[in-house]
Amino acid sequence: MQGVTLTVTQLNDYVRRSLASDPILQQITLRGEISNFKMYSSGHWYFTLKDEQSHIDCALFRQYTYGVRFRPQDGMKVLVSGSAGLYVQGGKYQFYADGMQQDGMGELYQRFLALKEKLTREGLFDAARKRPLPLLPRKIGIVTSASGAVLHDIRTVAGRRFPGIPLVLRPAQVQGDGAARDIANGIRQVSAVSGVDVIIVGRGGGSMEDLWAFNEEIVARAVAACPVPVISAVGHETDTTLCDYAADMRAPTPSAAAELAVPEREKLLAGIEELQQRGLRAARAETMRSAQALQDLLLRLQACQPLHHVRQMAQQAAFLQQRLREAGRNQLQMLAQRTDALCGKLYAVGPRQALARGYVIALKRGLPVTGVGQAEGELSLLFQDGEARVRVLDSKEGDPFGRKEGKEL
Amino acid sequence: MAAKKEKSFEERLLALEALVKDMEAGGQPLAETLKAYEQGEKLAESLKKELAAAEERLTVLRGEDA
Repeated sequence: MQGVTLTVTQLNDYVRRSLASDPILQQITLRGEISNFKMYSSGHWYFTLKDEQSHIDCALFRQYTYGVRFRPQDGMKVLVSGSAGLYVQGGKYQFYADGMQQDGMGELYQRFLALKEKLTREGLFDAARKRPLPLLPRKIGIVTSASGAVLHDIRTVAGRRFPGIPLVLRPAQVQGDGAARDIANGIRQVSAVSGVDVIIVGRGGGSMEDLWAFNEEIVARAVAACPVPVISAVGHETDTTLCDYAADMRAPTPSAAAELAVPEREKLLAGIEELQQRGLRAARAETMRSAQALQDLLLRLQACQPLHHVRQMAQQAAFLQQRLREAGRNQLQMLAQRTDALCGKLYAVGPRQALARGYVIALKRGLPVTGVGQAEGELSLLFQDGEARVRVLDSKEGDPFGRKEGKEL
Repeated sequence: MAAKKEKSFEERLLALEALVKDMEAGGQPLAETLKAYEQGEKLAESLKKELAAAEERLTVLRGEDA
């Protein structure tokens, strides 16, 4: 026994990882013929892909089956994309597919890619070229088959959203020889109809060959050159044609295209009525503002009336008069009080008080005698109740109360 | 292409919107507000007239080579 010892699982897992680490094996397009095709109830597809010498088991899981646009059958030549890997439990090497297309379509598909590349470089699909759709088209141009469900769906949706919106159909052959030319001419013709300001180009679902006309250069160019916006609704959502790329708007279905092209009448009406209401409110508000301003001016004008002025002056005068009177009264009262006070004081310092207490005023020739030196000859003595004439007999200087000078009483 | 002079539905709707916004902002003389209101009503009526229901009109062109 030589080398490492592994369990079966370890070996299978090791091989699985070896395969998974090879980048080439992770992204392969495999060419071969289908045999033993089985569709399981789980939705997964299992089949064998073979060529002259070899075969390989393949699995295509459900999530990828939606991208396959045909029903695979034994014997079909196909191109399958995916990765090679190992199914660990069975120890089986197999191919995990994630896409499938019919071989032979390959050439057509290459043409599609090449044309798409060319037109992209030209700028035909630039986002900047896309025009907005009109809010309310005057007429809607339709380029599609006159007999298909597309026209029916568009008419139904348009009639529901905006009863009476004018539709202009340019019936066109949408598959087979000459279809591309007919569609391109149809776009030109319907866009020339006066009033048509949006166009729907449509076709129901089908195989890649069925939709092929919409991948032709003349159609893509007609759409791009169309003077009015074009809505493209070709095939199912998963199919994208050059017509879709060139269009101003792409719709997943014809009904959706009609919804894009046709506004809801009721919504538009409601919007306009709301604007009308707002306009009315604004006009009313402005009128009321003006009326209010007028009212204010009237009040101010009234305030300026001359009669009012005179009244105001009279009131002012009366008020002043009142103040004057009060001021006069106060002044008189104050003067009377001061007079009274002065009289009291005068009385207090006057001679009568002294006379009442026994003092006598001596006058000589009408002048008061204030010193003993003046006391000689005849004097008049004033008493509180009369006057006496006396003659001075003798006089002597000194304190009449016999106290020495300088001593305090 | 739209005919000259005749304004599209959208243009008229935008004009009506602008008019109402101006009026709501206020500040214009009363006479102008009233004029704007009158103009707005005319626009609104023309827009509503355009929306008036009619019978579906489906014209079918003859497919001829252009």
